[in-house]
Amino acid sequence: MVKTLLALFLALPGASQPVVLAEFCGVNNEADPAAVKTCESPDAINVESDKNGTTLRKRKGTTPFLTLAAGTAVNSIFALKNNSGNECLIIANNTGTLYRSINSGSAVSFSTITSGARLYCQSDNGKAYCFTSSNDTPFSYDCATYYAEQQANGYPNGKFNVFTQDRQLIAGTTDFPNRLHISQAGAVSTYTGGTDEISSWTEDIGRSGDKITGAFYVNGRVIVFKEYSIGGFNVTDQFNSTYYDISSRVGIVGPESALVHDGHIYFKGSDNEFYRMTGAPGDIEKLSRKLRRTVASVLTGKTRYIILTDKPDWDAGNYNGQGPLAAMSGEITFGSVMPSSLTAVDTSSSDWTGTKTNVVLTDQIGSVTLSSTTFKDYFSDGDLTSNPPWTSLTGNFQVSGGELYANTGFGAGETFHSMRTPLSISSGSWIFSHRFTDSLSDSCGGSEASGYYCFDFRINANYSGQYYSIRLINTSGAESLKIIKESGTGETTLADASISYSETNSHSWEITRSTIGNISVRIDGVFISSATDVAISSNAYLYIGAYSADNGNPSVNPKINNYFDTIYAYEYRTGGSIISRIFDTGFSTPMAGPLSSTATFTNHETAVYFDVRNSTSPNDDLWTSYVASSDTLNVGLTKRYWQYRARFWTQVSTKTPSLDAISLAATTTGQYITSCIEPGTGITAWGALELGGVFAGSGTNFTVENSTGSSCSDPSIGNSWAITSTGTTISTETAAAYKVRVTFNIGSTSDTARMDSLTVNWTEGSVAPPSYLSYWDDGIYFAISTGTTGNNRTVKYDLRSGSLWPFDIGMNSPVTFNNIMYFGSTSTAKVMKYSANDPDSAPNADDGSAINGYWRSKQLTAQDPFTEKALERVSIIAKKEAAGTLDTSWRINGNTNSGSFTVNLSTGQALIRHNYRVPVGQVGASYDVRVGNNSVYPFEVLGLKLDLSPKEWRPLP
Amino acid sequence: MNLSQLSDLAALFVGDPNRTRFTSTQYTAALNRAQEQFAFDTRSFFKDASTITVVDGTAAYSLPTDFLWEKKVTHKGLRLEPISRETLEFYQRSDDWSDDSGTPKYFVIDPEEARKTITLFPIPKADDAGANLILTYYPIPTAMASDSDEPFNSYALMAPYHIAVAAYGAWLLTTYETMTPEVMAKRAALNKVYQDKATEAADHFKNTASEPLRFRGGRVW
Repeated sequence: MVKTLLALFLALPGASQPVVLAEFCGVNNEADPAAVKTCESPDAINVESDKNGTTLRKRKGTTPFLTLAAGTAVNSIFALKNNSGNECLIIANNTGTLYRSINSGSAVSFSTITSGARLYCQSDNGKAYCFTSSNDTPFSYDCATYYAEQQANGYPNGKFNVFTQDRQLIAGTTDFPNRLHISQAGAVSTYTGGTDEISSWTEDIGRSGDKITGAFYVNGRVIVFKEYSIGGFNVTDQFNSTYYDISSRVGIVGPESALVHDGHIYFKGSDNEFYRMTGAPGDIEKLSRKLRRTVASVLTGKTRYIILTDKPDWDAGNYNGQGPLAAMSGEITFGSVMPSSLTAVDTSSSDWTGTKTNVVLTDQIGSVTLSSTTFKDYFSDGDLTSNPPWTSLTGNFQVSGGELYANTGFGAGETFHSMRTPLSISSGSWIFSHRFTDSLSDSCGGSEASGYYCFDFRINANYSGQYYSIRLINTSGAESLKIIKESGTGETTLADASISYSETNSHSWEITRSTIGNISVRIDGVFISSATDVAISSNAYLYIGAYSADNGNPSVNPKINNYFDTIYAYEYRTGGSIISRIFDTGFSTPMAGPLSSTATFTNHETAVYFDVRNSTSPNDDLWTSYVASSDTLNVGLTKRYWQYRARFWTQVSTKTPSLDAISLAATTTGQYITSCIEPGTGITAWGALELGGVFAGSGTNFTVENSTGSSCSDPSIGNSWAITSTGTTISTETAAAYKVRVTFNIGSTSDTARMDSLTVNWTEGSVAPPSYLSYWDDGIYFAISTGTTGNNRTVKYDLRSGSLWPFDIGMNSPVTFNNIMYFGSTSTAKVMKYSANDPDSAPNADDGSAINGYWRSKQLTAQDPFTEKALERVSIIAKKEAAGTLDTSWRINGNTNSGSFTVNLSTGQALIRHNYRVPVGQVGASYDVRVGNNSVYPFEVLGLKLDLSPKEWRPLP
Repeated sequence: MNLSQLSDLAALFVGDPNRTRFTSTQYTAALNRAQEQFAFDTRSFFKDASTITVVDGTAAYSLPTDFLWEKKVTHKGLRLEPISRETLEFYQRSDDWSDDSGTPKYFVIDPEEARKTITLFPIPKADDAGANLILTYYPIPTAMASDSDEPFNSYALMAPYHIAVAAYGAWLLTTYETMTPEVMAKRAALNKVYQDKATEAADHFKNTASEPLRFRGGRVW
């Protein structure tokens, strides 16, 4: 009852109603000024609350910390403490000069990057690993030594990086802007790949041409940003890492727009809003809801782009910019354009259909070998009269059971059998099998100087009685083998070797004689003896002589019989060749690759030589002469039709080189023409054309030409072409519509020139400059621009209260180090300092200039918003300052200032109480009050009170 | 007290010591209205003489710009009697009184804005001409404008009544305020200060020998 009566009394006209403002909780310009909370302000700048939110004070000022020798702005700052304990700032000015300052010392230049580029660094083990927005050569720097990262080790030339506990992730390469390059575990500069769990690998996030715009490590996972999406990447190894989506609505435009602090990522989104997230799926919180009008004032111009990256995109263009066939192919790798290629392989008899001279395909299946002179008699025909015909000289060789044996009949005693057959092989190989039918415990027969010989196998025998003989000797059951020469002057033993010769087994003999007279004998594959002699060069026949012994008693086994079988002799031709079939590369001007061959040969004994030629036509006389080539050598052919010739050589008649396979590779340096590109009508500025893909090999690049017109229906598009650039970043195109013709340049067929994406960039509207974030003193500071193309605002997000406080400080790349926030000036080559360890010693001016700080209350309506009130009094409690004033004004119904007064802050008690009687007649439905000053002096307000006298209800307006 | 001092005093009366509640213009206007009201209410403030040159054949002459109320009129040292047009018309029914000539005996005050004249009857002749018409009257006090200006045309005799000007000025200013009980009580107090001083002035500047008989202790309402 008492409360009701009191309320009624207070509501009566004339009863003053106080409105007390003793809590300050930031700016809220999202809602109508009459609808925000009492503690909020719809319009304030350069003020903040204390950490309890109970006082309102002007922000501190800024002072120059370092002055750079050159430039008109500071683009980037990175803070580092190296392993020597030195505190270091790495600074990039706006013209590309890098500076460092050690322990607050003066700025010393140490390198350069592209003018205007921004520097992105992350530290690891006392060293900064740095990249730039222009993909300059990455480097690391410990404020003592500059290390250019070795891209030969696969170190990606990206734009930015992030470290996990044991790996470095790099993104933003121009060829694969959608790719994360993950280093080897524990070796953050190693990107050479591999198959182990610790190996480096890459992950493509989205399609080729998509751009990763930031990557950050928080709560054990890497958060990957693109302009309009966010994902989380659980990095373990190349086999088990997983990726998940966090947002498909918002991302960031650059890595400077986000900050990791205490388990959260804070970022300014591509929609200009402020966000916070932990990286958990779906966990994303907007912080800037109450700064809607501030956010709305940020320039909304965007860099737009069209990406050609999918197969349908490419198929809409023309792969056949050059050549009789489609020079470029979209089929080899779907989603990419790359040169068509041809690899011609000959590896079987069906391939080697060309002209063959002294070579055969039959000796070794699947290979080409020299042909040979060959003698064979397997005695399977049952006689000695044919295939081949033998001429008996003595005794009676016979054929039985598919074998040749010496037989003289019962009782004939020891008999020598001999016969010959024409065979003109002076070198080569002679092979036969031999066995006995009895023990050699007795002598074979005949006489020999040291015993009896069993058989004689003569090669190089001629009608002059000359020969070389391979003779098996048995003396009292011990065997030996002799190589004997008969040159017409009597036999001469060239070699004599004891052997162990089983009587019951069949033995395989192999006799070889090279073209230079080397004679060797192998039995059962075991080398027995050799000799060298060149005295006998002519040859006419093969001679076999053998003893047999028979005691004439059938009940007694023959004493000895020699059996022969499978006599095989051959001699390879010294030279031969094969001319290949004709290959149609399909390209009018092919790029030749290396000849690749698989051949078997023996150095200094056999060889295969290659020649190649080419022609514009397969059937006329336009073929060029053969040009020598060899394995792994680029054949250098440039005409459409190709042919090779393989030449075989041997100087060992028993050996032939063999050609098992040969391949020739051809690709093309043709052109691809895109479909017509017509970006749009709202273009305010053009960006670069970007070509993404794989470029491996010396001399690999692209030549890009444009053909322009007023629209895609303009028939002149395609009539003429102008080179815009060579490389992956292409000059700006400004035409309303155009086609791009890309010529693929490669150094060899092993080079890779694969176009995965072609991106057309342009700008619509005015684009806001890069936004930056930094943490300092329980606040996250967002450096943004409002309505300009340079940063002119810094918004403090109070981590204690969640309140938002805009400051008019234009910051580039703020960074907090040792509890001091440094930032780059947007208009001078200075590194500025915002804060000090001791807040009381912080300046109250911005480099000597006044700070205009003020806070305006909400539209206050007292208890009854439906009646008018008279503003009677304004009361203020403020902290006494050394100097300065507090300017106070109020407005009625949100209109122009209705009155003001000034409080002198340098007189009075420590807490100044200033009660002000408002001029009579200040009647309205709502009031707001503004406090502040525009000076080099601070102020701190502890409370405000407005006394409002309600009026009678009356019709309004 | 000058205007600044009067304003300060009025500001104190209305609880506006820093003079923020009302503007200086409002204070000055209120104080000027207050001295005018006081002059009117008390008729304690008059100008002794204002000489008008009489012209042969001219009956009407302009009144002074600060004329509020006549006290007496003499011509050549002879007192003229006030008369109204209606009285002249009543007694002179066969002739137009306005064209009668002769030495003036009466005067007619025409204070309306369209005329603001004093008319002599009959119309003076050549023998009556000259700077010989003396008008004694109660003027409107000159409005204060600068801080050093004093009320009642700086007449020292009126100094004791300056507080009445401040009180009445404050009373006027509180008219702007929301009529809370506190304001209404203050207004009553201010009004009493003024009324007391006005009565005191009327008593103090009571009938003089040249004044017609008035009731003692009374005020001219």
